[in-house]
Amino acid sequence: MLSEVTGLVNLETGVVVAQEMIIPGHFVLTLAAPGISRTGRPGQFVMIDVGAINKLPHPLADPFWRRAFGLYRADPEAGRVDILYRAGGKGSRLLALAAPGDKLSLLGPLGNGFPLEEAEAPVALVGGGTGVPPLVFAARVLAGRGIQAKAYIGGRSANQLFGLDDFAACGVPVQVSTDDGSAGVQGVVTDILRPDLEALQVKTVFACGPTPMLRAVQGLVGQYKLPAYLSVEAYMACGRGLCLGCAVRLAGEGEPRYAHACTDGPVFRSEEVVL
Amino acid sequence: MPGDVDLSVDVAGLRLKNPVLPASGTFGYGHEPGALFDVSRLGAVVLKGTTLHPRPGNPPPRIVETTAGMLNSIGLENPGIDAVVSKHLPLLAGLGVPVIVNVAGDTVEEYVEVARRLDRAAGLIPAGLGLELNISCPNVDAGGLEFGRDPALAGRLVGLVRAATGLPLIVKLSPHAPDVVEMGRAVQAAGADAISLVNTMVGMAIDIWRRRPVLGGGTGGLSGPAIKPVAVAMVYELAQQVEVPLIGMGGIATWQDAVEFILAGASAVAVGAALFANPLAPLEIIDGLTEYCRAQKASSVRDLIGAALPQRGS
Repeated sequence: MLSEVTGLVNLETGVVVAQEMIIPGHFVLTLAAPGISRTGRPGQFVMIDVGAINKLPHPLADPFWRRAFGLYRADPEAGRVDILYRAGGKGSRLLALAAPGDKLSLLGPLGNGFPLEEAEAPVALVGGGTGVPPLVFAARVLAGRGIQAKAYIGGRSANQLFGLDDFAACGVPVQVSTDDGSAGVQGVVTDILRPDLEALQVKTVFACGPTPMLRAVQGLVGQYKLPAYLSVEAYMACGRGLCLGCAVRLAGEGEPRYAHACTDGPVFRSEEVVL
Repeated sequence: MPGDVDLSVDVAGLRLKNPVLPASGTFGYGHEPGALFDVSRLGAVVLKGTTLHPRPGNPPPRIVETTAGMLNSIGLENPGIDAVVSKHLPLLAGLGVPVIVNVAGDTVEEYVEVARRLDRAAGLIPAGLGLELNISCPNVDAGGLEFGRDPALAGRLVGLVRAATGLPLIVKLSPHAPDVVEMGRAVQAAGADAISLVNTMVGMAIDIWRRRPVLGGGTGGLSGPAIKPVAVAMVYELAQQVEVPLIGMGGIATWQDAVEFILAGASAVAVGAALFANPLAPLEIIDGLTEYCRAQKASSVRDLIGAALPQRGS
């Protein structure tokens, strides 16, 4: 297992600085949250009490859970963190209503994050959908350390892609695949990753995206025996190791064994989990 | 003026400085950094369901959010009683509050053996160690809820555990007991010192795109505000028919919820799934109870226990 939870988990009131729609249905939320901005690392996440904006009690206790969002940016100088999310479900649609000055209860930073210090260049950042924002954060940190990286981003269609400019802005090249061929290569993300693995252009893989995508990445990197780290998805209630709800099956024979995405993950070595 | 209201209660021979507890399974082992507050402020710490042998738990997905609540099918993932005694209880010794271990099993023998081992560990917790007998877990194949549905089986189980330990013995009832009063009387007669109610209710959510139940275990236990009125009604009914103190739980998220349970006859309350979104809910409830007692001119919360029951009404 990768590193345990840091013990820095905290409750913090974040104040909305800005909220901007970047493409239809997708928002960047900037929060003043000095504590999380200082300690948050790529691959870690925050849980936002989306039902209690401005500390109003949940009027209907619905949505009942906080929502987990991977960090997109943490700027300790400005004391701000950004998340980038799709307003799809009832929780994220409520969050999209938050306006500058609103107060949100944040829990975080949670989880272990990507072990970027173990990254041997060149690094492949592989993902899609809401897995993209943590990879952008990782790209910025890797670029800042002079570690060569390339992003491989898959999506359904050109109009569903976002974050590509962010990679370019920090000097990380991006290659794209889409299911319908409307941008980049027609196919899935492993189709664009495979040639670079074959050409030995990748030494470490960090991946974050929907489970079917991670499963495909897991299968591919297994063939090449590359160190790969997957940020997994799981339903999560508490985010801090209390409910044991976010179980992730660990690889191995015999009686099943489980880890927990919130405190043991969400980032796991590719070979240690069954997706 | 924090000292002007007495929040202390006695439950099952345990002295609680206030009546607010975490519900088993929502608070880990009470010493995790995820608790996020000084747990010695609670009336007691209640640990996750513990079995004789370690259990890996159920396959994922184990939880899903529902309207004003959630379903869980954790499957009693736990490291087993010996690890709880050797690893977790020592970390709770210095808290100065009682510790209640929730005990589960498939067979009578398992429950009894866990109770014996806890009995031998009593000295670890100077403020008092208690057992909460979980005869109402809906998420395991054998045992669990079966005991909770049959008063004769439950009575026999409680009697045998009673014989195995002198520790304070709380029995946690299922909302699926066909008759909660009959069940309550059976476990009281068998030696229970207190009764906690309710555990989760069996429920299901279906993934309409996969056309399958969402949870890996199919069904799960429903908790959260969605079940609160059911739980309040059961506490209200049982409080009129048994002498032992009750610990009320089921959807408590605010101090007002806690007050409802106390007025319905609960001597203490447990906060469960609401802790996930609001980690500080127990502390807010303690503060709110104090204010409520003050506003009601009650010098002790004990004066309010069962105040909504018929024989107490004006």
